[in-house]
Amino acid sequence: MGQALCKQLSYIAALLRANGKAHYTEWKRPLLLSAFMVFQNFLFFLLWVVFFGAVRQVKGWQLEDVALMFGLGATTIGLALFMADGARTIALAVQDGSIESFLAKPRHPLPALLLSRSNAASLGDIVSGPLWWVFFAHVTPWQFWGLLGLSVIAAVIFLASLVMFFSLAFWVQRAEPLSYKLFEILITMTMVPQNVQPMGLKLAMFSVLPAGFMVFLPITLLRDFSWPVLAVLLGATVVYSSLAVWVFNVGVRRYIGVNRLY
Amino acid sequence: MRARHGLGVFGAAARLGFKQACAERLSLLGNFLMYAVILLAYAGVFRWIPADVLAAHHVTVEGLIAYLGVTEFVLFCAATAHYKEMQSDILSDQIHLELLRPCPAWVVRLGDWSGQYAVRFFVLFVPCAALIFFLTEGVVPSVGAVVGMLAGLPLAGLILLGSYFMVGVSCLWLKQAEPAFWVWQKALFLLGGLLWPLALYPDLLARLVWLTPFPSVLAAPAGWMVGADVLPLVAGYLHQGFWTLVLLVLVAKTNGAMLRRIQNEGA
Repeated sequence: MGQALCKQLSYIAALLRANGKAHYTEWKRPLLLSAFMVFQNFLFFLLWVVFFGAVRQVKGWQLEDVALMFGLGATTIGLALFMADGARTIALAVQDGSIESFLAKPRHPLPALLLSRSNAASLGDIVSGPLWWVFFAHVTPWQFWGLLGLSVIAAVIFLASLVMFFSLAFWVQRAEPLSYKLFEILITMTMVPQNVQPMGLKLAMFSVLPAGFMVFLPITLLRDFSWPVLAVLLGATVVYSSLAVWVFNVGVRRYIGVNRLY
Repeated sequence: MRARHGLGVFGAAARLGFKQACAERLSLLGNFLMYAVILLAYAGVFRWIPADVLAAHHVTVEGLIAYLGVTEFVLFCAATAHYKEMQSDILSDQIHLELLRPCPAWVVRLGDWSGQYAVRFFVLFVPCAALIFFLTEGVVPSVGAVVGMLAGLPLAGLILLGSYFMVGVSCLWLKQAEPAFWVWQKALFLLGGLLWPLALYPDLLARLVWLTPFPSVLAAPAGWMVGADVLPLVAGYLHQGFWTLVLLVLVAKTNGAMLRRIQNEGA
């Protein structure tokens, strides 16, 4: 089992290297896209600067807290899309049949599908997070490294959610626009203060749209570390990842079964 | 004669866009879901704004929710995918087919997109209004405010759609339109007052933004939900009218530049 795991990890590493090389060969483009991404993030953050300039605080949350949330959301999303933007191609691949080139391979199709595309502009999101943490949230060095680690965990949950959203295409025809909307909704929910939300929305944030696990719990951990909360976060990561793989596998079986009929 | 012909083509394209948008039911559902989530999430934020702060800026929680409801409604009626569609057609040389037509490409495009805008407007209006009514706990703006807001929506939509056209065409010079779109969109959010009215902005910034076209898209129609003075709100129509004319000239010139670029250098 250990050997199988090592083989899988080296396969994933090879795919990541291939994506890295693709960005490196035309490095100016990723750099320019990333710079624009950082700038647009800054423009959007200015909305909150304006808001807290007038309002000062909302249920104890101030601009520094929103900067923490914003940076965490940006780095999380950036990590997921830079590494595995192929998640957003699942629906299209199912629709046009190009998923069959992944199904024909001896290995599980999901890693290759996820790593088939890397979003260069997401580098800007990855960079935005640390910038916001340092310049607007004024985190300590320990908190900085803690946030980076928490971003990786949150990125796994985000990626798992994307796999489930875009796997809707296995059951629903022309599901891509709906999947994209769910993706955008999840991003929106990570960019809004979550402590002020009504119970219904909080329930959604800790279930079908796990923005609460991506942002709220990590910030809670950062403020007031506790092992039970960390266990909940890690448990959620395992649950969402397993669920994503299961949903994808069921979808693939359905796809193969339906195609056999024709 | 040319103007009549152009309007005729615009209308025909609008009818096509109308039919196309009617077929995209899942997309409409997705739009409403996202709209609902945004409104619910930010209504949660507004409810926790201290009462003295609201009073100091002459706004209410219900007014803020209604304001956001209108600005988001304008954005959701005009799909952001339009600029990508423009870019995709240019990069795949599909645009050549449009350039062969006797009518300028921008007239056909804006017509098509206006038809789609109309579908989203009519389909989403009632559920969005119902959601705003629910979140404001039944507080209804005055008839005058609603009429004033509705009167501002068509030009707001036209300015938005024209902007998408120009952003999409920018890929001819920038290789990729996404960066231009990101910056334009976030500038619209910030300077157009997407999330909160300009009353919450610092005084100087609240005045300077009116030098840009962005308030005519969002703040001008939505301001009817929070504004008490009618005169500045009516002046918003003048702002919209001015920028609509500017935009139409810019769109026509962009179309001409696109044609020359493609003829001289290809897509």
